Amino acid sequence: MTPIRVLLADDHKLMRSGLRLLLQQSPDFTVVGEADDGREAVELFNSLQPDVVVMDVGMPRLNGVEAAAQIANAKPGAAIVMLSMHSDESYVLRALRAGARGYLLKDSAEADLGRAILAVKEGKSFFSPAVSKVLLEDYIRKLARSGAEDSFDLLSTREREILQLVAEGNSSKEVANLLNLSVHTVETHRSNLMQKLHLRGMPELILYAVRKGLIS
Amino acid sequence: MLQTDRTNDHPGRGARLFLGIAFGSLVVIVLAAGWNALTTLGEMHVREESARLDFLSRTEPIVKVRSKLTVYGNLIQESVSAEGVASSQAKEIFDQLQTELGRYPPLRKPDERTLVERLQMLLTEQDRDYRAMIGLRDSPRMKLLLDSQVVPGQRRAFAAAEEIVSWNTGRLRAADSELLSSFNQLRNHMKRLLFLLLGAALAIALSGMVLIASQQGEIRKRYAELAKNHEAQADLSARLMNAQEQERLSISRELHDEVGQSLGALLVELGRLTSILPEKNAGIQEALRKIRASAESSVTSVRNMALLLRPSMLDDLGLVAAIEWQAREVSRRTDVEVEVDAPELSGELREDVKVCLYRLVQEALNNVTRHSGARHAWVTLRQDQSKIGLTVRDDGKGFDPDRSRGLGLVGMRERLRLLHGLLRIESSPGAGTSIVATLPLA
Repeated sequence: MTPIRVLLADDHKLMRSGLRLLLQQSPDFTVVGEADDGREAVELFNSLQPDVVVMDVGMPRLNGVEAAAQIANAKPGAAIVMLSMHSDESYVLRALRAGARGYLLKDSAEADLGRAILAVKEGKSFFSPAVSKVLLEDYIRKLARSGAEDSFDLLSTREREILQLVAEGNSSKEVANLLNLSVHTVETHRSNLMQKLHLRGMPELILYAVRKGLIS
Repeated sequence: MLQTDRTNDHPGRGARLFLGIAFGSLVVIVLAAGWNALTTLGEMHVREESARLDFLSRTEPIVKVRSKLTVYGNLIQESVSAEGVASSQAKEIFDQLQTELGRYPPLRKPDERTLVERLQMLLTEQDRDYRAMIGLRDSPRMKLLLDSQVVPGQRRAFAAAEEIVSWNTGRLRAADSELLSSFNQLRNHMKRLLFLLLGAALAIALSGMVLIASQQGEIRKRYAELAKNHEAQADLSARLMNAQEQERLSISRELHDEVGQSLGALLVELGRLTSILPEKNAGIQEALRKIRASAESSVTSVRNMALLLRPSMLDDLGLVAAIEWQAREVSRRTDVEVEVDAPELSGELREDVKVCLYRLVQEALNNVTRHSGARHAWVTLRQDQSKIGLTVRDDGKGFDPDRSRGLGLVGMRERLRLLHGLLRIESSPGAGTSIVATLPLA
C-alpha cells in the first residue's frame, strides 16, 4: 500500500516537527509538505494535491477555517483534519462548515492523528473523544435547564441507524447498501430525521452525532 | 493643577465684599439723609409756627389798641358836645387801652422797644391832652385844643401803633424768608445728595456688571478648560483601552503561541516517546504518564489564561463564534443559561468594533451572573448597512438605571463612546434588564 500523502499546516514549527516525527514513525504516512500559514497551505494543496491536509485552526494571514473552506471549495470532498486547542462547539461547527471532516484536539493529537487521517482519507468523520464529551455536556445541561425533551428520543431505531451512518461519512447509496434498503427510503429517513432534530445541513448533522456520541 | 485651582477658588470674593459694603453704605446714607431731612423739616415747621405765634401775640394787642384808640377818639369828640357820660366812658376805654398795651409781650429788640415806648409816650400825651381839654369846660376852646392837640396826637399814636404792626410784619417776613432760605438750602442739600447717591449707585451697578462679566469670563474659561480636560481624558482612556487590548492580545498570543504550542509539541513528543519505549518497562511508562498528565494540566491552564485575556476565536472565527463561545462558557460555569441569536455577519468587522462588542457581551454577562439572579440571558446581534446593534437581555431582578452606577456600565459607555456608539439600559426592579448597544459602521 502506498503511504498516505499528508500536508501539514501549522504556524508553530515545534508542533509541526512533532507531528511530522509522529507520522514518520508509521510507514502508512508520508509528509509531502509543510505550510506556515493558511495562504501557503492553500497554495501547497493546489500544487501538491496531498491525500489529507492536517491544519491548525488559528494561523496568521489566513486562518485554518478559511483555508479549509478555500481548499474544500477548490476540491469538494477534500480530506481535511482540523487541529485545535479548543473543544468548543463554535470551532467544531465552523470547521465542519468549512469542509473539514476530522477535528483533533492538540492535546490528544499524538494518540489519534493516525486514526483521524485514515478516517478522513476514507471519507469518514473523526473527532477527538474529548470534543464529543464537551459537546454532550453542553447539550445535556441545556436540555435540563430548558426542560425540553431530548429530540433524539423522537427518532426511530432505523432513523438513528441512518443518522449514525450518514454522520460517519457514508453517502445515501452506501447506507442503502449497508442496510439493504433502497436509496429512496434512505433519503426519506434522512430528511425526516433532519426535520425532527431541526438540523439544517450536514455540518449540523455531524455535530449532532458527535454530541450524541454516535461518532468520534 | 488642583492646588492652584483651590487657591483661586473664589476669584470674585474681594470684589463681592467691596460691592456688599458699597451697597450697605449706600443704604445707610439714604436712611441717614432721609432722617436728617425729616428732622430739619420738623424743626422748620416749629420755627415757622413760633414765628407766626410770636407775630400774632405782638400784633394782636396793638390791633386792639388801635381799635380802642378809634373808640377813644370818637368818645373824645363826643365829650366836646356832651361831656359827663362820654368822658367817663373815654376814661374807661383808655384804661382798657393801657391794659391791652400792657399785654404786649416782653420787648426784645431795641428798635421794638423804641417803637412801643413811643406809642406809650404818645398815649400818655393823649391822655394828658384830653384831660387838659376836659378841664377847659368851654366848648370853643375845647374844640380848638381838640383840633390842634388831641386829634394830631391821636393820629400820631395811630401811626405809632401802625409802625409797630408793620415792624412785626417785617419781622415775620424776615423769619419767613429765613425759613425759605433754609428750606432752599435743605432742598439743594437733598438734590446734591440725590445726585451723589445716583452716582454711587451707578458706580456700584457698573462695578457689579464688570464683576459679573469677569466671573462669566472666568466660568467660560474654566468650562473650556474642563472640556479640554475631558477631551484629553477621553483621548487618554481611548489610548489606555487600546493599549490594554493590545497588551492582552500580545500576552494572550505569547501564552497561546509560545507556551501553549511548546507544551502541545511536548505532548506530541511524549506520545512518540511512549510509543517508542518498550511497554514492558512499567516504571518508565508510569513516569511518562505522570509527565504527560502535568503537561496536559499546564496546557489547560495556559489555554484558559490566554482565552481569558483574549479569546482566540475572535481572531480565528470572528465575532459571532466568540460570542457563542462566551455564552457557552458562562452557561457552563454559572446557573445562567445564555442563548445567542446572531446571524453570521456579512463581511468582516473592523478590529476595534469586534473587540468592543465582544467586551460588551463579556461585561454584560458578567453583570447578569453577578447581580441579576437571572436564570436566562439572551444575546442578540443585528446588523444592517449602517450600524450594528447588540442586545443583552436577562430575566433577573432588574434595577433602577437612574440610581445605579458602576456595574461596569461606565466602562461599557466609554468603550462605545470611543466608537461613536450609544448604550441604552432598559431595566426596572423586577422586570429584568436589557442592555442595548448601537454602533455605527462607518
